[in-house]
Amino acid sequence: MAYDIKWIDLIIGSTLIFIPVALILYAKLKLLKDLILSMLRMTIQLLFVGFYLKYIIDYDNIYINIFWILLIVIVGSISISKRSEVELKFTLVPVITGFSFSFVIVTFFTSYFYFSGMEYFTAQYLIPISGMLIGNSISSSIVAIRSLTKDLIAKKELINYYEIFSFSRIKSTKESMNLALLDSFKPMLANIANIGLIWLPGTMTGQIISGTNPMTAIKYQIVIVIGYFACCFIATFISLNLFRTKAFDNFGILKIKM
Amino acid sequence: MISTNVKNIVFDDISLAFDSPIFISLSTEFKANSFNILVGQSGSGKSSILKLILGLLTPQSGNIFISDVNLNADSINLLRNSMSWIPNSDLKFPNLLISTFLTNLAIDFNLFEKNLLKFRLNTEILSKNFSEISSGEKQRFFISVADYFDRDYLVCDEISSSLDAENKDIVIEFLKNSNKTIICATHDNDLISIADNIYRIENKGIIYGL
Repeated sequence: MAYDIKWIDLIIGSTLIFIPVALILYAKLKLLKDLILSMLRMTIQLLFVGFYLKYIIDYDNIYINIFWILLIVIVGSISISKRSEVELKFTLVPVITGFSFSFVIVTFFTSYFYFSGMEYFTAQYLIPISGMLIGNSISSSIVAIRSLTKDLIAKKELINYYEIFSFSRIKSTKESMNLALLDSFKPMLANIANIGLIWLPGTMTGQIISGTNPMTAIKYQIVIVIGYFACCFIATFISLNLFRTKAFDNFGILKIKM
Repeated sequence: MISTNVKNIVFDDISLAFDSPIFISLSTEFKANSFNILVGQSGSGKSSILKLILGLLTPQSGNIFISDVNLNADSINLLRNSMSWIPNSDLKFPNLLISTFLTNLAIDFNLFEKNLLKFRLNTEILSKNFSEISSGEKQRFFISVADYFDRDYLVCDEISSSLDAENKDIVIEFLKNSNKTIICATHDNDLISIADNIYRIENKGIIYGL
């Protein structure tokens, strides 16, 4: 078991944040409000989730577990839709559909192959791994939707012209779709390529601190990285295709705005 | 040859608004097989009329009939097959090779060469990007594409604004001899002087004649 940090030590140690606060004040940066809000939100959310996770891991009911995962998928999708700066009516259904499909596929692989020797659908495994998969996928999906929207808006006149001369919309928007996927997944792959070289990711670090054999921790990390890449790519691919369908009206005219 | 199947374009009680009204209960008819010119101040709604015909804008109320067919989501693809659009030269096609553009439109390069030559362009243009050609070349290029497709309705927006006198004469000859139903928004007096019908946009409506 990892050494448990005492609450009082956690509070005293967190005064470390006052150094950046002092530097922000010194530089007169307009960052203080964001910093306080972010830190407060992070602390409250983690405390809440900590208590909640302790309860559901102890209780371990399959229905509660599934409900929790549905909640993660829906909250994640709303977060993607809102932060992509495109109206929710265009993004929400495509993103929820994409993530639901993708999540089922990735969870099937994870439970059937990686964890074939044990019961994967327990709260202890299912919930943290699902959280990692969705959580890591959010920023890439946001980048993809924003990139596609921007490019479609920039090419609106061209797409209109093609519509009049009967060039298929799937083909006329293909370049924008590919660009969105590249914008989103190139940085993710560059990050993946640096794992182990520049940084040790969270899952592995956490497990090593908890006293897990480093080789076991590495295997878990590989499961997580392949899982979140696949989850994100499948989800984004499906979401973008559905989003493109919703982005045009019955006359083939782009109706999304940013 | 004049097509007998092609009939008037009818606007029936069209209202269109963006932030403020552009047209209120506009009803008019653009005559088939003739050269119809739209005039009016900048921002009066000339381009909006063209976009309504092309189905690029949808009116808040009213109907548009093209050769007796009601323009709606079900008929739009069929109707667009009878239209060519010559956009104005401000149109931005970012980072696009002209040859890619033509390939996307399924244009046969060999056949298209004669359309280019007709408007004093040559095949060198194919290897260029849209950002590398002048406004005048762009205008003549879009006209040559419309000429290649040879469709019944020709919808043109400021077709001659960037042309020099010699090129404008070629375009005027093309319009005069095309025997198509042309709807053309313009400020150009040379085009206005050869038009069969002139429509003046004023006070959110249309008045026939200058």
